[in-house]
Amino acid sequence: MNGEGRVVLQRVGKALLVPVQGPVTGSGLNELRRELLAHLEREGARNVVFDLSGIEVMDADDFARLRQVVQSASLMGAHVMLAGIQPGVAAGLVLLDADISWMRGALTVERALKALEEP
Amino acid sequence: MKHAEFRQLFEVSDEDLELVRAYGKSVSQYIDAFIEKLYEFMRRALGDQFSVHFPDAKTLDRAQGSLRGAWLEFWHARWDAEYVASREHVGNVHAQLQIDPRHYLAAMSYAFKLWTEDLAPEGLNERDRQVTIAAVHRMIAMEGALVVDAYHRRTNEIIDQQGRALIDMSTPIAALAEGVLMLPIVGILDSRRAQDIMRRMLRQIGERQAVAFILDISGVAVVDTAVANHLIRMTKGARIMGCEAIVSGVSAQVAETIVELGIEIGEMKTTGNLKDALKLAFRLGEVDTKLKS
Repeated sequence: MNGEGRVVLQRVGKALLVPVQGPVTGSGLNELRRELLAHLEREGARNVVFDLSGIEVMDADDFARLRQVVQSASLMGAHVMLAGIQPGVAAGLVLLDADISWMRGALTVERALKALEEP
Repeated sequence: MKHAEFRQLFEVSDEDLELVRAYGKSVSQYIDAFIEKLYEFMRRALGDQFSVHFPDAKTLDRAQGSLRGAWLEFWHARWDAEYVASREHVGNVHAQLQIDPRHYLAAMSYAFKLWTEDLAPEGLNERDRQVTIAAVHRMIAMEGALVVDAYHRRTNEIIDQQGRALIDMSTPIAALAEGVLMLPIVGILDSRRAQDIMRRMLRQIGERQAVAFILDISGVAVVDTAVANHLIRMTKGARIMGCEAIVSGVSAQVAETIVELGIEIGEMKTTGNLKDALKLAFRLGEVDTKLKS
């Protein structure tokens, strides 16, 4: 997150779009998690798409925090997809032998939204 | 410093250098006889190859000239950075000409014999002769190690260059249809190549928005645990980007090996032949096209 503080969750139809921008730092992701979970609690579970297309670098710690955010949302019944993971980030994660079994990826936000709408 | 490191390794003392220098003063005068005898030896040792390395009188002349210079330098026993660099150059030249290290070392061994036996000066007492010869021996061994070291490094560089060229040539990623890419992997899949392929593959998936990627391994020489793990990583990387990677060309033998080795392939999609992989990939491509419209 870029330090400006506010996390903007966008509603796209019935789905919720979470733009993750700038460096994925611990405090930014923590704030994102609070916002997202509060939103899910208020509005009920829905399809959630994380837009990661702006993230060029992700280390193991960032990855673990992202996983916590996604898994917490899943526990609340949300269907989560990660869109636009960059080639460099993908290569880095598999070379770290990170556990990616929880991740559902899509090339673009548009594709992720469509895929979540499918029965 | 490299010259210091070698001196320490071969235990060449200042006194040794002094002895070699003094000995050189009395034997340097026989340099022409030495060159002649050494080339006779090389002619014998190299046999048919001699004319490959020295095809004409001019080449031979030039080689003899530089050998003469090199040995006169040797007897100055100036073991410093400049001298070491010049010996490394000799190693590089040998590697470039593909002269075997064994022939180089045999010639060095013969040179030692020439200087200390055939061309040895009269008048040294037995004790002086022995210490001097031991010092000369250490110097020659040190020089030989340096040249072989450089040779070895140069050869590895050549192999690396060839390897890189081969990797570049052997990873042609083809677009088969909208959103469907294919890469036939041929040859040996070591970890460096696997990483390289994976980076190209993921970049292409991003650039061309591929939803299916066929990795055909019918041309992979050996599929062992390491190779299987590389393939699994490649398919995982593709999956988190939103692209399904399909490994095709799994032969009966490869399938058996994978099971025998107990390799956990997880969710990796595999097919025996390319046809099945294509069917699967095109279906994914069509689904994606429909989704987009």
